Amino acid sequence: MAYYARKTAGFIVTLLLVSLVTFAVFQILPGDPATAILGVDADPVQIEQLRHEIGADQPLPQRFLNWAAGVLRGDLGASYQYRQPVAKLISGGLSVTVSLAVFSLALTVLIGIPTGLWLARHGKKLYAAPVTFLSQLGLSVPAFCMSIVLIEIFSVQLRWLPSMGYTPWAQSPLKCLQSLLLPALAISFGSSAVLIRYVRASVSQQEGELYVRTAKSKGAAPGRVMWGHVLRNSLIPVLTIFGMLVTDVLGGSIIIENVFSLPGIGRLISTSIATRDLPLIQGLVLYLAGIVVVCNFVVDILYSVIDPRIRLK
Amino acid sequence: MTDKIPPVLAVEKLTVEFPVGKPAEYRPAVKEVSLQVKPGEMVGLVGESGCGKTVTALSVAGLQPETARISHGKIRFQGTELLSLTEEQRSRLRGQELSMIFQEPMTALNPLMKVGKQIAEAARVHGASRQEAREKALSIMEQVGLPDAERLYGEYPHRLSGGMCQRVMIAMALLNRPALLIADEPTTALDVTIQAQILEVIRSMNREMGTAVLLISHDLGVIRRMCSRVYILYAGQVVESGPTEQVLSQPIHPYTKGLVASLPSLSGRGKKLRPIPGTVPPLEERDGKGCPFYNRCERRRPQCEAGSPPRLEKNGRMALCIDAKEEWGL
Amino acid sequence: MRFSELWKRCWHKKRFVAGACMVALMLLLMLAGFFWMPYDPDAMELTNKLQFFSPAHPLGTDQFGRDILSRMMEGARYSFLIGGLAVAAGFVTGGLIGIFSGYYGGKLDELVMKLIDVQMAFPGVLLALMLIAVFGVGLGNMALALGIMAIPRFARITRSGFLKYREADFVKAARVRGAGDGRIIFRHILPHVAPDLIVTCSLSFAGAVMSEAGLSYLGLGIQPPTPSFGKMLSEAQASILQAGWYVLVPAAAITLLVMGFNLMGDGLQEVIGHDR
Repeated sequence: MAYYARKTAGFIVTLLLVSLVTFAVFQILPGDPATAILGVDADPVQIEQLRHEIGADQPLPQRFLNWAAGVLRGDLGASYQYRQPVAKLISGGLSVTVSLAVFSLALTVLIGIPTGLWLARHGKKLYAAPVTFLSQLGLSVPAFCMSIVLIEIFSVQLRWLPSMGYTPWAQSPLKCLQSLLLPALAISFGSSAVLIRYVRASVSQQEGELYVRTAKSKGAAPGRVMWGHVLRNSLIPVLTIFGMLVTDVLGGSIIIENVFSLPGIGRLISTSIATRDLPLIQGLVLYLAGIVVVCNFVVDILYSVIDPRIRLK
Repeated sequence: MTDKIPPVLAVEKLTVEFPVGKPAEYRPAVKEVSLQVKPGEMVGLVGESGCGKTVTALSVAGLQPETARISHGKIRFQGTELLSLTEEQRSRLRGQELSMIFQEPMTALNPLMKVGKQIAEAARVHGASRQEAREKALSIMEQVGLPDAERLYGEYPHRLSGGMCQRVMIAMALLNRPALLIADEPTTALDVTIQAQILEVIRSMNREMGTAVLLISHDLGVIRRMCSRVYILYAGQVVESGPTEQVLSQPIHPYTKGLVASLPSLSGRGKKLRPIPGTVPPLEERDGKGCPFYNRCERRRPQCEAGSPPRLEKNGRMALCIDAKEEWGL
Repeated sequence: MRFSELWKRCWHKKRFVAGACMVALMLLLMLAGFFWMPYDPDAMELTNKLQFFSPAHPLGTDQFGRDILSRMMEGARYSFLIGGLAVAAGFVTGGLIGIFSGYYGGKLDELVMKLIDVQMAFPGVLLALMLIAVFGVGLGNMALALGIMAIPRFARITRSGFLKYREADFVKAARVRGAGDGRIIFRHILPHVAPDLIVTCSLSFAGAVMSEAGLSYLGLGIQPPTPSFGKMLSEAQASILQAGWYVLVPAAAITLLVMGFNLMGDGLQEVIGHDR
C-alpha cells in the first residue's frame, strides 16, 4: 500500500511541476500578451484594459494560481487566433491524435514484440540480417522522413492509400483506418525498432537465468520454457519502457500530423507557433505532457500488479 | 552391495571441452571421468571450485552450456545411452527418471510463478492432468517438510527463505519419484543450521523412495555423513575413488590427503590443519601433459611431469597416482 | 581503460566502422563544400526545374532549378553545426548538473532527478517547440532549444557514473591522501565516466540532427533560402508528384548522418560493456 501512496504522491508532484514549468516558460516571453494580441500599434488604453481583463497586471504567483485553477476547471483560456476556448480546440484535435497514437502503439506492439522474440532466437543467423538492418534503420530514419518515403511508395506510385487528410471514425471506419495507416506505420517504424531492441536484449538476458535451467531440468520442452517462463519475465522489464513508447509515439505524431495534414493536436501546435497564439500553445503543451505523465503513472501501477516483487521495494 | 546389480548411472570416460582463447581452442574441463551410481545408493563427487563437478553433473542431465562440447565418452542411464538420444527424448527423461537440484535455490525458481505451480509443472510436463498435478505437488510438499502446503502453494518464491526454496526444488525434483537425483552443492548457499535440515530431507527421501543420489559438494564432511562411496575430482579428472570411509581414512592421492588434512573434523583433534597451497589451474593453463596435480604436489617426482599418472585399482578403490603402487603393493 | 586502447578496440567493431564511414562521408561532403561547389546553392534556374540525376547536376535540381548537390553540401554544415552546438550545451550543462547531483547527492540530487522526470514528460520535439514559441524562430534559438533537450540525458549518465564511483576504493584512497573535491571529481572519477559520456555525445548528436530536421521541416528551424535537410524534405514533398526521387536525397542524407552516429555510439557502448 505504501508503494501506491508513494507513487501517487510522486505523480501529483510531477504533474504540478510540469504545469509550473509550462506556465513559467511563457512568462519569460519578452513583451506582453495584450500587446501580442492587439498588435504594437494598438491604442495604449485598450492594451491596458485588455491587460486587466486577462489578468496580466496581477503579480506572478497570483497569475499562476488563477491559471492553475482554470486548468483544473477545464478552462485553459481563449485562443488569440481562433477566438475560441483553448479547451474546445484541444478536444477537437484530441480524437485525431489519440486515434493515431493508439493505432501506432498497437502496430508498435504487434511488430515489435514478435520481431524482438524472433530476433532473440535467430538474431545471429545470416537470414536474420535483413531484419536486424531494418530495425537499425528504424532507429535512424526520422518518422517524418519515413512518412514522405511511404507517401511516395503507397500514395504516389501504388495509389493504395491517401497521402493526406483524415476521415472520422463515425463517418467511415474503413476510410478512417486508411487515412491513419500510413502515419501510424511511419511512427511505429521507429518506435517498434526501440521495442525490438529491448525485447531482444531482455529475452537474451532472461534465457541465461537459472530458473530457465530449472524448468529444463523438470523436462519442460523448449516451447514451454519460452512461453511459460521466459516470456513473462522478459516482458516485465519491457513494460517499463512502455511509458517511453507512449512519449515517443506522441512526440512523433506532432510532426507526422503535419506531414499528412491530420487535424490533430500536433498540427494545432505548429500552426499556433507560427501565429504565436500563446494560450493555445500553453494549453496544448500542458495537455500533451499531462498525457505522458498519466501514462507513466499507469505503467508504474500495472508494473506492480504484474510483478509481485516490486511492491516490496 | 554386489557388482551384479546394474548401475542406474554409468559414466564412462566422459570428456567435456570448452573453447578457450582466440582463435578458439577446445580444452577439456572434464577429462575421461568414469563413475557409477547404483540403485538407491548415495554417491559423492568432491572437489574444489573449478574442478569440473558441475559440468559433469550438467552433462549427465543434458543441461551443459551451449558452448560445451562432449567429445568422448558414454553416459548410460538405466541401460540407455543418453548421448545417442534426441533432445526431445532426453527432455522426457528429465524430471521423470533423472532430476537435478542446484546450488542457488533462490534464483533457481521462476520469480513470477507461484511455487505450487512450479512444483506441479514437473507433473504437468510429464502428462498429468491439472488436478492430478496439484494433488501430487501438495503431497510431495508435505513429504519434504514444507509446512502448510496449501498456503505455500500460492506463494511467490521471494516470500520464501533459502531453505524453503531448496525444499521446493527438492519437491519439484522428486515429484515423479525419479531413479536418480543429482544434487549440485544443494546446501552451499544456505545457513549452517539449514544445511543439516536439507541434507536430512535428501537422506530421508533417498530411504523412502529408493532414489539414488549423486551428491556434489566441496565439503568432505557433508560427503562423509551422507555417501557410501566417493569420487574425488581434480582439474577435471577423477584422481581417487572408493568407499567413503576407506578413502578418507587411508587416502592415497596427495590431493585427497591434502583435502583430509585441511578439514578439522577429519584430521583429528590436536592435529594442525594444513591447507593445500595454490589453486586449481584455470582451463587455459591445462596443457594435458603429465599429472594434473603436479604443480601443487608435495610428492612430485620427475616422471610425473611428462607422463600421465597410472590409473590403479584394488578392491573397489581407484587412484590416479604412482603412490598407489607401493601403498597397495601392486 | 586508456583512450588509445578504447579507440583501437572500436575499430574491431563492425558497427563502429560502418558508422564512422557514414559520418566520414557526410563530413567529406560538408568539408568539400568550403573549397568547391558545383554551383551557387542559391542560384535559381527556372527553366531547369526538378531535373533527375545527370552529369551536369549529379543529384538533380529542385523546384527552383537549384543544384541539389550544392544545397546538400551547404545544408550539411548546418546539421553538423546544430548537432555540435546542442551536444556541447548538453554536455557542459548536463555534465555539471550530473556531477553535483551524483557526487554530493542529498536534497539537490532529489530535486535534479525530479526535474529530469519533468523534462522527460515533454514528448519528442515538444519542449523545443515550446521554447521556439517563446524565443521565436531562428537558428540560434533552435540550437538553444535542442541543447536544453539534450541536458537530461547527459545529466543522468554523469549522475549514475558519479554515484557509482564516489564511494569506490580509489576515491577513498585519494581522499585519504588529501585530495580536494575538485581533484577527485575531475582527475579521479571523470575519466571513468568519460567513455559513457562519449557514447552519449554520439547518440545525442544523432538525436539533435533528427530533431533539427523535424523542426526545419515544420518551418520552425532553419529559414529559407538557407538549405537544410529538413526543409528540403518538405519542398520535396510538395513536388512529390512531379519528382518522387527528390525525397530520397535529403532522406538518405539524414539517415546516413543519424545512423552513422547511432552505430558509432552502439559500437563504443559494446566495447565499454565488454570491459566491465
